[in-house]
Amino acid sequence: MKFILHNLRMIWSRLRSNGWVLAELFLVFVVMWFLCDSLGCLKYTFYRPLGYSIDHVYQLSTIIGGATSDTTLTNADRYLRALRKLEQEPSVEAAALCYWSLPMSGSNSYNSLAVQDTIGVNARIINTTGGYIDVFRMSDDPQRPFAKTPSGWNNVMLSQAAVDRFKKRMPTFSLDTPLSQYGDSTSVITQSGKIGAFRTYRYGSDAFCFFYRLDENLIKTQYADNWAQIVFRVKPAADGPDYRAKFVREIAPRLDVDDLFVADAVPYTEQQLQFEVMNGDTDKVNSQAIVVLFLLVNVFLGLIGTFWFRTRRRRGEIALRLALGSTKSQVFRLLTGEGLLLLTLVTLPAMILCYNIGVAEFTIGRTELISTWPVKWTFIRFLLGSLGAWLLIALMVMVGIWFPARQAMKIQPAEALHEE
Amino acid sequence: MMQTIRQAFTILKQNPLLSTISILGTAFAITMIMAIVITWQTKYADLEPEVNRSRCLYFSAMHVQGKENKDWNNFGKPSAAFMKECIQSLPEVEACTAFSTADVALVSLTDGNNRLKVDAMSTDPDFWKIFKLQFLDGRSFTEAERGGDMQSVVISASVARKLFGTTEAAGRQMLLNREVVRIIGVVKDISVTAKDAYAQVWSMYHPGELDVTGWWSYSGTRTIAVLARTPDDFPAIKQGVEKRVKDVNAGLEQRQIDIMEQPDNIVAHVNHVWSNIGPNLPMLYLQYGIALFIILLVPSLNLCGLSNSRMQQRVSELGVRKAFGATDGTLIRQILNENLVLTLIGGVVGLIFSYLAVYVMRTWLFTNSDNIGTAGDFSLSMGALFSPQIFVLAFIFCLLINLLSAGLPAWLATRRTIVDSLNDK
Repeated sequence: MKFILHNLRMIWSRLRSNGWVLAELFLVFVVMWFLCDSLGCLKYTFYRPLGYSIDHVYQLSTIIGGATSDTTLTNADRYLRALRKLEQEPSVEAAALCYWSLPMSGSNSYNSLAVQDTIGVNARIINTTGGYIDVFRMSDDPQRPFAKTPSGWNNVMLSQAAVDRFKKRMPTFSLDTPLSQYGDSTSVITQSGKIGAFRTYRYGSDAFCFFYRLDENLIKTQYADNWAQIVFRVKPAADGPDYRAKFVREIAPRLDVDDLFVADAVPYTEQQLQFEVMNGDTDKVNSQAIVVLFLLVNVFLGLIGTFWFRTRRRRGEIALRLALGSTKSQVFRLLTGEGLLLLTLVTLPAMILCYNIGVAEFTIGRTELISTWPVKWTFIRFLLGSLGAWLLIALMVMVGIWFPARQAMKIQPAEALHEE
Repeated sequence: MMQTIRQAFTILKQNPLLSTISILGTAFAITMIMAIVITWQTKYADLEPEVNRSRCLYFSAMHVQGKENKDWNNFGKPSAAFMKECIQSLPEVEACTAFSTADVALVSLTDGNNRLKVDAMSTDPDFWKIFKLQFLDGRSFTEAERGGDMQSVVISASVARKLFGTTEAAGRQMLLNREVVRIIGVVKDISVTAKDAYAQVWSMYHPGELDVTGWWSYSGTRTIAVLARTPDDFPAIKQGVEKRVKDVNAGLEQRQIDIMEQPDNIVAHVNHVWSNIGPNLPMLYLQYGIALFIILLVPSLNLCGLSNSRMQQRVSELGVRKAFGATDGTLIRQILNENLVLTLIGGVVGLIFSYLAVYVMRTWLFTNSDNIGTAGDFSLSMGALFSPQIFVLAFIFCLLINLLSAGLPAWLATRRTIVDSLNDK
């Protein structure tokens, strides 16, 4: 305690020269808190379980073009035949065909379903064949698997998030509750099960989805001319870095259907990266990390600079302390103590400012500044962010002081006393 | 002048560690700022092959909505027919082109050998008026070649080399997605940083795409670039298109088309990722603003602390000069000039660092929704790196940092009375 008071008195007496470094620490703390908070939330979300798996999953790039020999074929016929051939491949574990329904893809369609005509929930529509659940290893009820659910739009499977949303608005909601199209009370849609919770993508929140199964008949009648997407899961033993090249070379030619051919099999991880780029998450994480680095380097330089002069001016004092029996580590602790105390002095006012920024819910354009969805704003989150910022800056303070302090302590006590 | 420089170097040598710190401090700030500037230039300035970015307006989203049933919504891209109906005939429009994003395609020799995966786009003859690509052989396609028996295509030099072993491939034939096509031109490879123009094979879309058969004809898979004579014509073009859209909607029965807040200028266009929500430009500018503010202010505070310490050492010198009649202004100017030498050294180091930084991080900096997953190179344009603008901006930012970091401490130092200064209190 005495030590701290002593340090405080010393800081006060040098306020003039401390002013700049105090102002810098204050500014840096506020910015650093924001970045720690934001990066922390992003990373926390990133590492939460996704609810499905895209390892060993590939998407076919199909092209329809060139000479056709059978003009009676519709696109749907071509895709279905290619899918059947793909399922026969020994290295393929599961395959699915779907329409605008892939995870982490920008093309999608939405609809609302209702219970009792008025309680509606809006969610993404997944139109796909039964293999989808196996390809992405989503979890369905083994008693009521998606692959066995009746085909068509009168039977739906809700994702866990959609079920929860309904339950929140109607506590008696269960799998037996009949649904209808929102705004069309005559329609009846039966739930045939549900899909376990999953998230939209690595930086995303829980996904609201309505799953509809398509069978061949439905595809041929409803999607005759549309473009379909085909995805498949490769057996782990068969997959490897050269699988893509091998697939294009050996398997793709076997999948030809008339004028439809396969140009590529793209690992689904590429789709994931693309989606993260399109959503701006990659950019956000990278640029924020760079600014953190920049700030840390500046704190380091600033403290070296400030303490270099200070310890030079205090050479006599330091030597005197050494001569009178202080150990080197005691003097070092005195100096770092001073640096950390400087930091602690600005921490409290800076934290008050940060907390107010946090609860103010600023919105700029269409983006919320702080309530970095999908992590809820809580006091714990605030404390963790502040702690992260404090530790990072403290580390730089220690490193920044260490070098000038060591220089200053090289002095021989006798020499210094002589100077006195 | 010479004296100032000599004086500055003496001070620099007196305390190498502190000089290094202040040079590095300036250098890192300049690195960050210039990296941002270079990235901005590469994305948004007129650079080959996208030499007309500042004169272009863009459409990349199309919203079709039910007239009665507002719940029926379809968000996609515009079509070539939309361009023909609503844009082409406007008097202010010099040229306009509709193109698709580069997509994977297969090319090979006509016998099926040398199979290659390439990025191909389809477009129209006006593409070559808006984007300037360097032709190594042959020429671009024209209206006359559209819709004939055999498609005419332009390919990039690297594709030509891989297929034929030479860039002189004009007049030869190849298979594009299993169809025989004629190569009529070979262009120099372009960087994927050219978001719109980038491809490796350019072909022409079918003229049937220009016909209107119903509301669905307005929704397609294309991005449209509109070249205005001058940027001053932008409002007239916007109004003209809005009027045409109104006329089109009057003729449609169940659906109506909606161009949302388009046309976009180049900055909005590059940041227009999704078709259902427009770019968030206030947020974009705010982010740049905050970033610049922090990058300038934090190092300046740092350097202030340093200059302040240095000032304290020189207080008696300043006192003597004042006693002999130097004004505050003279002293402040002297200090600023001396400090400028340090700042400029930092600026040069920083600019070199920023070239390195942009080069090392180019994949991340310039990856966007269009070019991710394409096969092209992220080569950087020399025009963006070494333009006079870059040097002028770097110099201006150096002056700014200098003013921020030395001006205030100098002013504080000169405010002290002569007697205090002489006594070094």
